[in-house]
Amino acid sequence: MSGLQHTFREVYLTHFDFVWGALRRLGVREQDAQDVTQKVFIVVYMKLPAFENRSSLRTWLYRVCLNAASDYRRSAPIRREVATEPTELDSLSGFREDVHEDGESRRRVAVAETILSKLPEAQRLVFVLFELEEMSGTEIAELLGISVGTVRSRLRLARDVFTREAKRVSAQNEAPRKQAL
Amino acid sequence: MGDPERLLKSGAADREVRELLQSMRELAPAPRMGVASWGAMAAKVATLPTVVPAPGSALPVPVSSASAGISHALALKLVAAALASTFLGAGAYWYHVVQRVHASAANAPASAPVAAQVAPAAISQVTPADEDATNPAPAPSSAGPGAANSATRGSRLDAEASMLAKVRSQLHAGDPHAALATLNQMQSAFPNGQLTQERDVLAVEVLAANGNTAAAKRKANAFIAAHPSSPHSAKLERFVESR
Repeated sequence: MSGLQHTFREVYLTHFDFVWGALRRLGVREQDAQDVTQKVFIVVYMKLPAFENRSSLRTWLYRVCLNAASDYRRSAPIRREVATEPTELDSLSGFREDVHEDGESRRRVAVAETILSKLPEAQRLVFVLFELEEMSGTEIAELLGISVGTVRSRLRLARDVFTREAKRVSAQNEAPRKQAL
Repeated sequence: MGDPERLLKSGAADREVRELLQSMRELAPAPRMGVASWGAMAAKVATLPTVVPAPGSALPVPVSSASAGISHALALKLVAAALASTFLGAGAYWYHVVQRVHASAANAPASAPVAAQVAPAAISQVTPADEDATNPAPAPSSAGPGAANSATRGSRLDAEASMLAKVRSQLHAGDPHAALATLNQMQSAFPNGQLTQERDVLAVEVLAANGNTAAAKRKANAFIAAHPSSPHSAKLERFVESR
């Protein structure tokens, strides 16, 4: 095994979970996440010799994830089975008190993914980077090549939609529970 | 003005919003998925010889898996330094190749004017006759645009990476003419591929190795202007300054 392959192995094993999670939050479906993660690491392997530590390794990896996720979404619209219509979204809101905590977590993920999929791509990216990846406005601006002002305006719009939709789903959850009482 | 408070940490945010975001934050693969999938990944990259040592340059310093004391950053720096030495330290090798190509160019005048027309944003195209003369072996089926269109996304990336590796191999084997032909095939097959930056950087090397230093510099400058923050730009700046 060459030096590059040794280094790549360490990068792969150390950052696999990070890349997988980042891709999921960027809209890659769970059943496709491992496949897209492998594609990311193929690109990483090819580009690794050019990495010169100008940015952190994680920032660099995230940039590759952004491209891969963008490519994934652009090239496979049919594969995106995440519900986008209100009626489909509503079907995810059936809350049951007896569901296992893991099941509840999965339901929340499905709801969040559905809401995120309703956002315009530019707003979604900024929202995910700020709220979920906890990057600063300046970092996001540099990563996406936009101004900090644009980051903030996109974030504001995305927050409005996300909050509104989350409340709507929550209200629909509450209705059957009240009826049951 | 600073960033707004994140919804997850904001007491003002609705509970349901925070719960949804928290679930997304906690997304993680199944335990040990990375370890379990390493074998398949290793087999895949084993066919992608990214760093091919030029004559006189050393391979990157091996980083033992047991060398826990070496940070990833340091290991990556070693790899980057080795590549830089490959790129810059191979001047003598390039000079040798350039001289050889200059000599062959005198016998193949058709290729010279074509190379001279290289636009900064495009790789020069060689004529079919040049391809036949310099790359007699039939191109792999994945190389053609038709094949590329029918390939799946995964195999497209594999094919693109393989072509990039082939260009490198041809270049470092002292056959820059064949490398240019393969590069042209790659440009046609993957005009918007995932490795376009690597291809463009390699194109600078290939053009220089073919003796077309002016085109190489133009392409390098175009790349630097288009990608000022790319790690490749630093190498290309050094290349331009050295010419």
